[in-house]
Amino acid sequence: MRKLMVISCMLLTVVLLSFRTEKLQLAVPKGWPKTVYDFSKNLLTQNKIELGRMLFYDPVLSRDSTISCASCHSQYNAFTHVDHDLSHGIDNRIGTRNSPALMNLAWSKTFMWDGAVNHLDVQALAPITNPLEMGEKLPDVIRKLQRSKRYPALFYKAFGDSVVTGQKLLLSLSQFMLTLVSNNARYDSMKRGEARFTETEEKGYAIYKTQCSFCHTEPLFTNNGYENNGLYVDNTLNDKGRMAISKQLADSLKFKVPTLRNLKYTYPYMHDGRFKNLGQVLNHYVMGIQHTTTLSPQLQRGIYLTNDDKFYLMAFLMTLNDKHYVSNPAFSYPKNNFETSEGL
Amino acid sequence: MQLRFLVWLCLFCAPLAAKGQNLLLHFVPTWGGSALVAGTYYKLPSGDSLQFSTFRCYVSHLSLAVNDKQVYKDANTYHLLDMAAPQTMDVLLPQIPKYYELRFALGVDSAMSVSGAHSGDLDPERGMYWAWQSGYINFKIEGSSPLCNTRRNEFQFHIGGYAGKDNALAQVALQTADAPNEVTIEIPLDKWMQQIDLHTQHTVMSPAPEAVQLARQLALVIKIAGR
Repeated sequence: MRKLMVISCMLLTVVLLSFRTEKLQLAVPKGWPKTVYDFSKNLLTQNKIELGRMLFYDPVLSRDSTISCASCHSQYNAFTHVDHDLSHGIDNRIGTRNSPALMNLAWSKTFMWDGAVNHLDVQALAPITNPLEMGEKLPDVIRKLQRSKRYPALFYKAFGDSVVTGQKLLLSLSQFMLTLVSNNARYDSMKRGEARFTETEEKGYAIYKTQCSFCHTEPLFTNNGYENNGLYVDNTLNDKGRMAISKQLADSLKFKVPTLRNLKYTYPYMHDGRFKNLGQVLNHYVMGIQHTTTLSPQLQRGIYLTNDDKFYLMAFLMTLNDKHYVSNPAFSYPKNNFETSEGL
Repeated sequence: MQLRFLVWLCLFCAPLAAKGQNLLLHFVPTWGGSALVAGTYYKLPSGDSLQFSTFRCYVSHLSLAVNDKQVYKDANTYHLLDMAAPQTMDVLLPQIPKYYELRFALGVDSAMSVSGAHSGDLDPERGMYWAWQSGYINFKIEGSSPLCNTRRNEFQFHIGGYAGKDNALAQVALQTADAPNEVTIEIPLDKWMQQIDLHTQHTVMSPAPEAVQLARQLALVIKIAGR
Protein backbone atom coordinates (compact mmCIF):
# COMPACT_ATOMS: atom_id res chain seq x y z
CA MET A 1 0.00 0.00 0.00
CA ARG A 2 2.74 2.35 1.01
CA LYS A 3 4.66 1.40 -2.11
CA LEU A 4 1.65 2.26 -4.21
CA MET A 5 1.38 5.64 -2.57
CA VAL A 6 5.04 6.39 -3.16
CA ILE A 7 4.71 5.40 -6.79
CA SER A 8 1.59 7.47 -7.32
CA CYS A 9 3.27 10.44 -5.62
CA MET A 10 6.22 10.06 -7.96
CA LEU A 11 3.95 9.82 -10.96
CA LEU A 12 2.10 12.92 -9.89
CA THR A 13 5.38 14.81 -9.50
CA VAL A 14 6.44 13.76 -12.97
CA VAL A 15 3.11 14.89 -14.39
CA LEU A 16 3.36 18.22 -12.58
CA LEU A 17 6.97 18.73 -13.66
CA SER A 18 6.17 17.99 -17.27
CA PHE A 19 3.35 20.48 -17.04
CA ARG A 20 5.78 23.14 -15.78
CA THR A 21 8.10 22.68 -18.75
CA GLU A 22 5.32 22.15 -21.25
CA LYS A 23 5.20 24.73 -24.00
CA LEU A 24 2.48 27.24 -23.37
CA GLN A 25 0.84 29.37 -25.97
CA LEU A 26 -0.33 32.91 -25.57
CA ALA A 27 -3.97 33.07 -26.55
CA VAL A 28 -4.52 35.94 -28.97
CA PRO A 29 -7.83 37.55 -27.97
CA LYS A 30 -10.50 37.34 -30.65
CA GLY A 31 -10.36 40.23 -33.07
CA TRP A 32 -6.82 41.21 -32.09
CA PRO A 33 -4.02 41.32 -34.65
CA LYS A 34 -1.20 38.78 -34.79
CA THR A 35 1.51 39.35 -32.20
CA VAL A 36 4.63 41.23 -33.25
CA TYR A 37 6.71 39.11 -30.86
CA ASP A 38 8.00 35.91 -32.43
CA PHE A 39 7.18 33.26 -29.83
CA SER A 40 8.92 30.52 -31.82
CA LYS A 41 12.25 32.06 -30.76
CA ASN A 42 11.34 32.08 -27.06
CA LEU A 43 8.77 29.35 -26.40
CA LEU A 44 6.76 30.10 -23.27
CA THR A 45 7.02 27.68 -20.37
CA GLN A 46 5.63 28.06 -16.88
CA ASN A 47 9.10 27.80 -15.32
CA LYS A 48 10.54 30.54 -17.50
CA ILE A 49 7.55 32.78 -16.84
CA GLU A 50 7.95 32.19 -13.09
CA LEU A 51 11.67 32.96 -13.26
CA GLY A 52 10.92 36.15 -15.18
CA ARG A 53 8.33 37.10 -12.60
CA MET A 54 10.84 36.59 -9.76
CA LEU A 55 13.41 38.73 -11.57
CA PHE A 56 10.82 41.41 -12.32
CA TYR A 57 10.10 41.81 -8.63
CA ASP A 58 13.68 41.39 -7.38
CA PRO A 59 15.73 44.52 -6.57
CA VAL A 60 18.88 42.44 -7.04
CA LEU A 61 18.81 43.78 -10.60
CA SER A 62 19.82 47.24 -9.31
CA ARG A 63 23.30 48.29 -8.19
CA ASP A 64 22.41 48.69 -4.52
CA SER A 65 19.54 46.18 -4.47
CA THR A 66 16.91 48.82 -3.77
CA ILE A 67 15.02 49.11 -7.06
CA SER A 68 13.23 46.36 -8.96
CA CYS A 69 11.36 46.58 -12.24
CA ALA A 70 8.19 46.68 -10.17
CA SER A 71 9.38 49.83 -8.37
CA CYS A 72 8.38 51.85 -11.43
CA HIS A 73 5.97 49.27 -12.89
CA SER A 74 3.59 48.27 -10.13
CA GLN A 75 0.67 46.04 -10.89
CA TYR A 76 -2.01 48.14 -9.21
CA ASN A 77 -1.03 50.97 -11.54
CA ALA A 78 -1.25 48.76 -14.60
CA PHE A 79 2.53 48.47 -14.35
CA THR A 80 3.54 52.10 -14.26
CA HIS A 81 4.82 54.39 -11.51
CA VAL A 82 2.13 55.88 -9.32
CA ASP A 83 1.93 59.59 -8.64
CA HIS A 84 5.34 60.61 -9.97
CA ASP A 85 5.59 62.77 -13.06
CA LEU A 86 9.17 61.59 -13.62
CA SER A 87 10.11 58.13 -12.38
CA HIS A 88 12.92 57.76 -9.87
CA GLY A 89 15.65 55.17 -9.40
CA ILE A 90 18.52 54.30 -7.06
CA ASP A 91 19.93 56.93 -4.64
CA ASN A 92 16.70 58.93 -5.12
CA ARG A 93 17.83 59.93 -8.60
CA ILE A 94 15.10 61.30 -10.78
CA GLY A 95 14.81 60.25 -14.39
CA THR A 96 13.68 62.29 -17.36
CA ARG A 97 10.43 60.54 -18.24
CA ASN A 98 7.27 59.03 -16.82
CA SER A 99 7.58 55.25 -16.84
CA PRO A 100 5.32 53.70 -19.49
CA ALA A 101 2.49 51.38 -18.39
CA LEU A 102 3.27 47.78 -19.35
CA MET A 103 0.56 45.77 -21.07
CA ASN A 104 0.00 43.84 -24.29
CA LEU A 105 3.71 44.06 -25.06
CA ALA A 106 3.58 41.13 -27.49
CA TRP A 107 1.84 43.53 -29.90
CA SER A 108 4.37 46.33 -29.53
CA LYS A 109 6.85 46.97 -32.34
CA THR A 110 9.18 49.23 -30.41
CA PHE A 111 9.64 50.18 -26.77
CA MET A 112 10.22 53.31 -24.71
CA TRP A 113 8.61 56.72 -25.33
CA ASP A 114 11.02 57.34 -28.20
CA GLY A 115 11.20 53.80 -29.60
CA ALA A 116 14.88 53.52 -28.67
CA VAL A 117 14.51 49.79 -28.06
CA ASN A 118 13.75 47.57 -31.03
CA HIS A 119 12.84 44.27 -29.33
CA LEU A 120 11.23 43.26 -26.04
CA ASP A 121 14.12 40.90 -25.25
CA VAL A 122 16.62 43.75 -25.00
CA GLN A 123 14.26 46.24 -23.36
CA ALA A 124 15.27 45.46 -19.77
CA LEU A 125 18.90 46.38 -20.52
CA ALA A 126 17.94 50.04 -20.62
CA PRO A 127 16.54 50.43 -17.08
CA ILE A 128 19.10 48.00 -15.60
CA THR A 129 22.04 50.04 -16.88
CA ASN A 130 20.62 53.58 -16.78
CA PRO A 131 22.45 55.43 -13.95
CA LEU A 132 19.19 57.20 -13.00
CA GLU A 133 17.23 53.95 -12.81
CA MET A 134 18.93 50.75 -11.62
CA GLY A 135 22.51 51.93 -12.29
CA GLU A 136 23.87 48.40 -12.60
CA LYS A 137 26.03 46.54 -15.13
CA LEU A 138 24.78 43.35 -16.73
CA PRO A 139 27.86 41.22 -15.84
CA ASP A 140 27.42 42.30 -12.19
CA VAL A 141 23.75 41.29 -12.21
CA ILE A 142 24.74 37.91 -13.62
CA ARG A 143 27.45 37.48 -10.97
CA LYS A 144 24.97 38.30 -8.19
CA LEU A 145 22.36 35.90 -9.55
CA GLN A 146 24.89 33.12 -10.03
CA ARG A 147 26.11 33.50 -6.45
CA SER A 148 22.63 33.69 -4.93
CA LYS A 149 21.12 30.75 -3.08
CA ARG A 150 17.99 30.86 -5.13
CA TYR A 151 18.63 31.63 -8.76
CA PRO A 152 20.92 28.86 -10.10
CA ALA A 153 18.17 26.35 -9.24
CA LEU A 154 15.50 28.51 -10.88
CA PHE A 155 17.61 28.91 -14.02
CA TYR A 156 18.10 25.15 -14.04
CA LYS A 157 14.35 24.57 -13.80
CA ALA A 158 13.70 27.04 -16.57
CA PHE A 159 16.54 26.29 -18.98
CA GLY A 160 17.93 22.91 -17.93
CA ASP A 161 21.22 24.66 -17.09
CA SER A 162 22.07 26.54 -13.91
CA VAL A 163 24.60 28.84 -15.58
CA VAL A 164 23.14 32.33 -15.59
CA THR A 165 23.67 34.28 -18.80
CA GLY A 166 22.48 37.63 -20.07
CA GLN A 167 20.38 35.96 -22.72
CA LYS A 168 18.56 33.68 -20.27
CA LEU A 169 17.92 36.58 -17.92
CA LEU A 170 16.46 38.67 -20.71
CA LEU A 171 14.41 35.89 -22.29
CA SER A 172 12.78 34.98 -18.98
CA LEU A 173 11.98 38.62 -18.22
CA SER A 174 10.38 38.80 -21.66
CA GLN A 175 8.31 35.71 -20.93
CA PHE A 176 6.79 37.24 -17.82
CA MET A 177 6.15 40.55 -19.56
CA LEU A 178 4.53 38.78 -22.50
CA THR A 179 1.95 37.27 -20.17
CA LEU A 180 0.85 40.77 -19.13
CA VAL A 181 -2.18 40.85 -21.38
CA SER A 182 -5.03 43.22 -20.54
CA ASN A 183 -8.20 42.24 -22.37
CA ASN A 184 -10.85 42.04 -19.68
CA ALA A 185 -12.12 45.59 -19.52
CA ARG A 186 -15.82 46.38 -19.83
CA TYR A 187 -15.08 47.35 -23.44
CA ASP A 188 -13.81 43.80 -24.09
CA SER A 189 -16.91 42.27 -22.51
CA MET A 190 -19.03 44.47 -24.74
CA LYS A 191 -17.05 43.35 -27.80
CA ARG A 192 -17.52 39.74 -26.80
CA GLY A 193 -21.24 40.32 -26.44
CA GLU A 194 -21.17 39.70 -22.70
CA ALA A 195 -22.13 43.25 -21.72
CA ARG A 196 -23.84 46.25 -23.26
CA PHE A 197 -22.70 49.85 -23.11
CA THR A 198 -24.93 52.40 -21.43
CA GLU A 199 -26.24 55.22 -23.58
CA THR A 200 -23.55 57.53 -22.16
CA GLU A 201 -20.79 55.07 -22.94
CA GLU A 202 -22.19 54.56 -26.46
CA LYS A 203 -22.09 58.30 -27.09
CA GLY A 204 -18.54 58.44 -25.76
CA TYR A 205 -17.55 55.54 -28.01
CA ALA A 206 -18.87 57.44 -31.04
CA ILE A 207 -16.85 60.54 -30.07
CA TYR A 208 -13.76 58.40 -29.52
CA LYS A 209 -14.18 56.90 -33.00
CA THR A 210 -14.23 60.27 -34.73
CA GLN A 211 -11.70 62.14 -32.56
CA CYS A 212 -9.20 59.69 -31.05
CA SER A 213 -9.20 56.41 -32.91
CA PHE A 214 -6.77 57.36 -35.67
CA CYS A 215 -3.83 57.21 -33.26
CA HIS A 216 -5.37 55.27 -30.38
CA THR A 217 -6.61 52.51 -32.63
CA GLU A 218 -8.75 49.58 -31.46
CA PRO A 219 -8.34 47.00 -30.10
CA LEU A 220 -4.95 47.86 -28.58
CA PHE A 221 -5.85 51.56 -28.46
CA THR A 222 -2.53 52.55 -29.99
CA ASN A 223 -1.35 52.47 -33.59
CA ASN A 224 2.22 51.81 -32.35
CA GLY A 225 3.31 55.00 -34.10
CA TYR A 226 4.97 58.23 -33.00
CA GLU A 227 3.10 61.51 -32.90
CA ASN A 228 3.54 65.08 -31.78
CA ASN A 229 0.36 65.71 -29.84
CA GLY A 230 0.94 69.42 -29.43
CA LEU A 231 2.44 69.57 -25.95
CA TYR A 232 4.48 72.71 -25.23
CA VAL A 233 8.16 71.93 -24.67
CA ASP A 234 9.04 71.77 -21.00
CA ASN A 235 12.28 73.76 -20.98
CA THR A 236 13.51 72.00 -17.83
CA LEU A 237 13.70 68.80 -19.88
CA ASN A 238 13.90 69.89 -23.54
CA ASP A 239 12.87 66.41 -24.56
CA LYS A 240 12.68 66.12 -28.35
CA GLY A 241 11.40 62.54 -28.18
CA ARG A 242 11.83 60.33 -31.23
CA MET A 243 14.23 62.76 -32.92
CA ALA A 244 16.98 61.88 -30.45
CA ILE A 245 16.90 58.33 -31.83
CA SER A 246 16.04 58.78 -35.50
CA LYS A 247 17.95 62.09 -35.89
CA GLN A 248 15.25 63.15 -38.31
CA LEU A 249 13.94 66.69 -37.89
CA ALA A 250 10.55 65.35 -38.95
CA ASP A 251 10.47 63.35 -35.69
CA SER A 252 11.00 66.34 -33.43
CA LEU A 253 8.66 66.30 -30.41
CA LYS A 254 7.12 62.97 -31.42
CA PHE A 255 6.54 60.33 -28.78
CA LYS A 256 5.17 56.84 -28.92
CA VAL A 257 1.37 56.79 -28.90
CA PRO A 258 0.40 55.23 -25.56
CA THR A 259 -2.59 52.93 -25.17
CA LEU A 260 -5.83 54.25 -23.70
CA ARG A 261 -6.36 51.04 -21.78
CA ASN A 262 -6.28 51.22 -17.97
CA LEU A 263 -6.09 55.02 -17.80
CA LYS A 264 -7.77 54.95 -14.41
CA TYR A 265 -4.68 53.36 -12.92
CA THR A 266 -1.87 54.98 -14.90
CA TYR A 267 -1.93 58.65 -13.83
CA PRO A 268 -0.15 60.98 -14.28
CA TYR A 269 -0.21 61.22 -18.08
CA MET A 270 2.13 62.03 -21.00
CA HIS A 271 5.83 61.21 -21.40
CA ASP A 272 6.73 63.64 -18.63
CA GLY A 273 3.70 63.01 -16.46
CA ARG A 274 2.62 66.65 -16.74
CA PHE A 275 -1.14 66.02 -16.49
CA LYS A 276 -2.38 64.73 -13.16
CA ASN A 277 -5.84 63.75 -14.35
CA LEU A 278 -7.80 62.97 -17.48
CA GLY A 279 -9.69 66.26 -17.31
CA GLN A 280 -6.39 68.06 -17.91
CA VAL A 281 -5.64 65.71 -20.80
CA LEU A 282 -8.95 66.43 -22.53
CA ASN A 283 -8.53 70.16 -21.93
CA HIS A 284 -5.12 69.95 -23.57
CA TYR A 285 -6.62 68.46 -26.73
CA VAL A 286 -9.42 71.02 -26.78
CA MET A 287 -7.43 74.17 -26.09
CA GLY A 288 -3.77 73.46 -25.35
CA ILE A 289 -2.43 72.29 -28.72
CA GLN A 290 0.83 74.00 -29.75
CA HIS A 291 1.13 74.34 -33.51
CA THR A 292 4.63 73.30 -34.46
CA THR A 293 5.81 71.91 -37.80
CA THR A 294 5.64 68.27 -36.73
CA LEU A 295 2.19 68.44 -35.10
CA SER A 296 0.10 65.37 -35.85
CA PRO A 297 -2.09 65.92 -38.95
CA GLN A 298 -5.01 64.65 -36.88
CA LEU A 299 -4.68 67.64 -34.55
CA GLN A 300 -4.14 70.38 -37.17
CA ARG A 301 -7.75 71.47 -37.11
CA GLY A 302 -8.07 70.99 -33.38
CA ILE A 303 -10.46 68.82 -31.45
CA TYR A 304 -13.73 70.36 -30.50
CA LEU A 305 -15.50 68.88 -27.51
CA THR A 306 -18.39 70.35 -25.55
CA ASN A 307 -18.58 69.73 -21.82
CA ASP A 308 -21.17 67.05 -22.57
CA ASP A 309 -18.83 65.45 -25.10
CA LYS A 310 -16.07 65.34 -22.50
CA PHE A 311 -18.43 63.69 -20.05
CA TYR A 312 -19.43 61.03 -22.60
CA LEU A 313 -15.86 60.47 -23.72
CA MET A 314 -14.73 60.05 -20.14
CA ALA A 315 -17.47 57.46 -19.59
CA PHE A 316 -16.22 55.53 -22.59
CA LEU A 317 -12.58 55.75 -21.51
CA MET A 318 -13.55 54.27 -18.15
CA THR A 319 -14.82 51.16 -19.96
CA LEU A 320 -11.19 50.48 -20.91
CA ASN A 321 -10.13 49.89 -17.31
CA ASP A 322 -9.34 46.26 -16.66
CA LYS A 323 -9.77 45.53 -12.98
CA HIS A 324 -8.89 41.89 -13.55
CA TYR A 325 -5.53 42.97 -15.00
CA VAL A 326 -4.47 45.01 -11.97
CA SER A 327 -5.56 42.31 -9.54
CA ASN A 328 -4.60 39.11 -11.38
CA PRO A 329 -2.56 37.07 -8.85
CA ALA A 330 -0.51 35.52 -11.69
CA PHE A 331 1.08 38.94 -12.28
CA SER A 332 1.57 39.96 -8.68
CA TYR A 333 4.57 39.92 -6.36
CA PRO A 334 5.56 36.23 -5.97
CA LYS A 335 5.52 36.43 -2.19
CA ASN A 336 5.83 32.68 -1.68
CA ASN A 337 9.24 32.75 -3.32
CA PHE A 338 10.70 35.67 -1.40
CA GLU A 339 11.59 36.07 2.27
CA THR A 340 9.41 38.62 4.01
CA SER A 341 12.31 41.08 4.22
CA GLU A 342 13.13 41.22 0.52
CA GLY A 343 11.70 41.82 -2.90
CA LEU A 344 9.70 44.60 -4.54
CA MET B 1 48.42 -8.56 -51.07
CA GLN B 2 50.48 -5.43 -50.64
CA LEU B 3 48.75 -3.81 -53.57
CA ARG B 4 45.36 -4.59 -52.07
CA PHE B 5 46.44 -2.96 -48.83
CA LEU B 6 47.54 0.17 -50.67
CA VAL B 7 44.23 0.40 -52.51
CA TRP B 8 42.39 0.15 -49.25
CA LEU B 9 44.64 2.75 -47.71
CA CYS B 10 44.02 5.11 -50.61
CA LEU B 11 40.26 4.59 -50.40
CA PHE B 12 40.36 5.21 -46.69
CA CYS B 13 42.37 8.39 -46.95
CA ALA B 14 40.69 9.86 -50.02
CA PRO B 15 37.77 11.55 -48.20
CA LEU B 16 40.17 13.08 -45.66
CA ALA B 17 42.35 14.59 -48.38
CA ALA B 18 39.34 15.87 -50.31
CA LYS B 19 37.98 17.71 -47.30
CA GLY B 20 41.11 19.80 -47.12
CA GLN B 21 42.73 21.40 -44.14
CA ASN B 22 42.08 23.90 -41.45
CA LEU B 23 42.67 27.61 -41.66
CA LEU B 24 43.92 29.34 -38.54
CA LEU B 25 43.41 33.09 -38.46
CA HIS B 26 45.31 35.32 -36.05
CA PHE B 27 43.85 38.79 -35.67
CA VAL B 28 46.53 41.20 -34.45
CA PRO B 29 46.09 44.92 -33.79
CA THR B 30 49.45 46.51 -34.54
CA TRP B 31 51.36 49.76 -34.20
CA GLY B 32 54.29 50.35 -36.54
CA GLY B 33 54.09 46.75 -37.71
CA SER B 34 54.42 45.18 -34.24
CA ALA B 35 51.67 43.65 -32.14
CA LEU B 36 49.97 46.24 -29.98
CA VAL B 37 50.53 45.96 -26.23
CA ALA B 38 47.88 47.45 -23.94
CA GLY B 39 49.21 50.24 -21.75
CA THR B 40 52.34 50.81 -23.85
CA TYR B 41 52.93 54.37 -25.01
CA TYR B 42 53.25 54.87 -28.74
CA LYS B 43 54.27 57.98 -30.64
CA LEU B 44 51.99 59.74 -33.07
CA PRO B 45 53.53 61.46 -36.12
CA SER B 46 52.87 64.77 -34.35
CA GLY B 47 55.20 63.68 -31.56
CA ASP B 48 52.37 63.27 -29.08
CA SER B 49 51.92 59.99 -27.26
CA LEU B 50 48.99 57.64 -26.90
CA GLN B 51 48.23 54.29 -25.34
CA PHE B 52 45.48 51.75 -25.84
CA SER B 53 43.53 50.03 -23.07
CA THR B 54 40.82 48.24 -25.03
CA PHE B 55 40.47 46.63 -28.40
CA ARG B 56 37.30 44.58 -28.81
CA CYS B 57 35.78 43.83 -32.15
CA TYR B 58 33.18 41.60 -33.74
CA VAL B 59 34.30 39.67 -36.80
CA SER B 60 31.38 38.07 -38.60
CA HIS B 61 30.42 36.18 -41.75
CA LEU B 62 33.91 34.88 -42.43
CA SER B 63 34.00 33.31 -45.85
CA LEU B 64 36.44 32.18 -48.50
CA ALA B 65 36.10 32.86 -52.19
CA VAL B 66 37.58 31.91 -55.53
CA ASN B 67 37.15 34.35 -58.42
CA ASP B 68 34.43 36.26 -56.57
CA LYS B 69 32.49 33.09 -55.85
CA GLN B 70 32.03 32.02 -52.25
CA VAL B 71 33.40 28.52 -51.66
CA TYR B 72 33.27 28.34 -47.87
CA LYS B 73 31.22 29.87 -45.07
CA ASP B 74 32.11 29.93 -41.39
CA ALA B 75 29.49 28.03 -39.40
CA ASN B 76 30.02 30.11 -36.24
CA THR B 77 29.01 33.37 -37.79
CA TYR B 78 30.00 35.78 -35.00
CA HIS B 79 33.31 36.08 -33.16
CA LEU B 80 34.12 38.62 -30.51
CA LEU B 81 37.82 39.46 -30.55
CA ASP B 82 39.17 40.89 -27.31
CA MET B 83 42.81 41.95 -27.02
CA ALA B 84 42.61 41.27 -23.26
CA ALA B 85 41.70 37.60 -23.89
CA PRO B 86 44.36 36.36 -26.36
CA GLN B 87 42.54 33.10 -27.17
CA THR B 88 39.69 35.12 -28.68
CA MET B 89 42.06 36.70 -31.21
CA ASP B 90 42.44 33.39 -33.09
CA VAL B 91 39.70 31.91 -35.21
CA LEU B 92 39.88 28.42 -36.66
CA LEU B 93 38.04 27.59 -39.86
CA PRO B 94 37.88 23.80 -40.20
CA GLN B 95 38.09 21.83 -43.41
CA ILE B 96 38.58 24.58 -45.91
CA PRO B 97 38.85 24.25 -49.68
CA LYS B 98 41.39 26.09 -51.81
CA TYR B 99 40.74 29.83 -51.83
CA TYR B 100 42.10 33.12 -53.09
CA GLU B 101 40.09 35.55 -51.07
CA LEU B 102 39.22 35.87 -47.41
CA ARG B 103 36.18 37.96 -46.55
CA PHE B 104 34.57 39.09 -43.35
CA ALA B 105 32.61 41.93 -41.81
CA LEU B 106 33.58 44.11 -38.86
CA GLY B 107 30.56 44.05 -36.61
CA VAL B 108 27.10 42.56 -36.33
CA ASP B 109 24.58 42.77 -39.15
CA SER B 110 21.21 44.47 -38.88
CA ALA B 111 19.22 41.20 -38.93
CA MET B 112 20.92 40.16 -35.70
CA SER B 113 20.57 43.63 -34.24
CA VAL B 114 16.80 43.64 -34.42
CA SER B 115 16.04 40.09 -33.26
CA GLY B 116 16.34 40.23 -29.50
CA ALA B 117 18.78 38.70 -27.02
CA HIS B 118 21.32 36.20 -28.30
CA SER B 119 23.79 33.85 -26.64
CA GLY B 120 27.54 33.24 -26.65
CA ASP B 121 29.66 36.01 -28.14
CA LEU B 122 26.48 37.94 -28.92
CA ASP B 123 25.12 37.84 -25.36
CA PRO B 124 24.57 41.43 -24.19
CA GLU B 125 26.54 40.52 -21.06
CA ARG B 126 29.69 40.78 -23.21
CA GLY B 127 29.40 44.53 -22.95
CA MET B 128 29.13 45.03 -26.69
CA TYR B 129 25.45 45.95 -26.73
CA TRP B 130 23.99 49.41 -26.30
CA ALA B 131 21.30 49.45 -23.66
CA TRP B 132 19.83 52.93 -24.09
CA GLN B 133 19.30 52.36 -27.79
CA SER B 134 19.13 48.87 -29.25
CA GLY B 135 22.05 47.65 -31.30
CA TYR B 136 25.46 46.05 -31.12
CA ILE B 137 28.72 47.92 -30.76
CA ASN B 138 30.75 46.62 -33.71
CA PHE B 139 34.06 47.56 -32.13
CA LYS B 140 35.45 49.37 -29.12
CA ILE B 141 38.84 51.05 -29.22
CA GLU B 142 39.77 52.92 -26.06
CA GLY B 143 42.88 54.48 -24.63
CA SER B 144 44.34 57.84 -23.74
CA SER B 145 46.48 60.60 -25.17
CA PRO B 146 47.41 64.06 -23.91
CA LEU B 147 45.84 65.33 -27.13
CA CYS B 148 42.39 64.46 -25.79
CA ASN B 149 40.87 67.24 -23.78
CA THR B 150 38.73 64.79 -21.81
CA ARG B 151 38.63 63.30 -18.32
CA ARG B 152 41.93 61.44 -17.84
CA ASN B 153 42.75 62.30 -21.47
CA GLU B 154 40.71 59.30 -22.58
CA PHE B 155 39.54 58.53 -26.07
CA GLN B 156 36.61 56.17 -26.54
CA PHE B 157 35.50 54.91 -29.92
CA HIS B 158 32.41 52.73 -29.57
CA ILE B 159 31.46 52.17 -33.16
CA GLY B 160 28.12 50.66 -34.11
CA GLY B 161 24.76 51.32 -35.72
CA TYR B 162 22.72 49.11 -37.99
CA ALA B 163 19.95 51.22 -39.46
CA GLY B 164 19.91 53.18 -42.72
CA LYS B 165 22.61 55.79 -43.12
CA ASP B 166 24.07 54.90 -39.73
CA ASN B 167 24.83 51.31 -40.71
CA ALA B 168 28.43 50.94 -39.57
CA LEU B 169 28.97 47.34 -40.65
CA ALA B 170 32.15 47.42 -42.75
CA GLN B 171 33.26 44.68 -45.16
CA VAL B 172 36.81 43.44 -45.56
CA ALA B 173 38.14 41.39 -48.48
CA LEU B 174 41.77 40.22 -48.50
CA GLN B 175 43.52 38.50 -51.42
CA THR B 176 45.99 35.66 -51.12
CA ALA B 177 47.82 33.91 -53.90
CA ASP B 178 48.73 30.68 -52.19
CA ALA B 179 45.76 29.74 -49.95
CA PRO B 180 47.84 29.41 -46.77
CA ASN B 181 46.64 27.42 -43.76
CA GLU B 182 47.64 30.06 -41.28
CA VAL B 183 47.05 33.74 -41.82
CA THR B 184 47.88 36.70 -39.61
CA ILE B 185 45.43 39.50 -40.19
CA GLU B 186 46.95 42.79 -39.18
CA ILE B 187 44.79 45.62 -37.88
CA PRO B 188 47.20 48.57 -38.11
CA LEU B 189 45.83 51.03 -35.59
CA ASP B 190 48.63 53.49 -36.43
CA LYS B 191 47.25 53.76 -39.97
CA TRP B 192 43.73 54.14 -38.60
CA MET B 193 44.80 56.80 -36.12
CA GLN B 194 46.48 58.79 -38.92
CA GLN B 195 43.00 59.71 -40.09
CA ILE B 196 41.82 60.85 -36.67
CA ASP B 197 42.65 64.15 -35.02
CA LEU B 198 42.45 63.15 -31.36
CA HIS B 199 42.36 66.81 -30.42
CA THR B 200 38.90 67.18 -31.94
CA GLN B 201 37.72 63.59 -32.37
CA HIS B 202 38.05 61.47 -29.26
CA THR B 203 34.60 60.33 -28.18
CA VAL B 204 32.19 58.53 -30.50
CA MET B 205 29.63 56.43 -28.67
CA SER B 206 26.49 56.36 -30.75
CA PRO B 207 25.39 55.53 -34.28
CA ALA B 208 26.26 58.41 -36.61
CA PRO B 209 27.77 59.08 -40.06
CA GLU B 210 31.02 59.80 -38.21
CA ALA B 211 30.96 56.25 -36.79
CA VAL B 212 30.28 54.79 -40.24
CA GLN B 213 33.32 56.62 -41.58
CA LEU B 214 35.55 55.40 -38.76
CA ALA B 215 34.40 51.83 -39.38
CA ARG B 216 35.14 52.06 -43.09
CA GLN B 217 38.54 53.56 -42.38
CA LEU B 218 39.40 50.67 -40.08
CA ALA B 219 38.24 48.11 -42.65
CA LEU B 220 40.42 49.75 -45.29
CA VAL B 221 43.69 49.48 -43.36
CA ILE B 222 43.24 45.81 -42.40
CA LYS B 223 45.65 43.55 -44.32
CA ILE B 224 47.35 40.20 -44.30
CA ALA B 225 50.65 40.49 -42.43
CA GLY B 226 53.80 40.63 -44.49
CA ARG B 227 52.11 42.11 -47.54
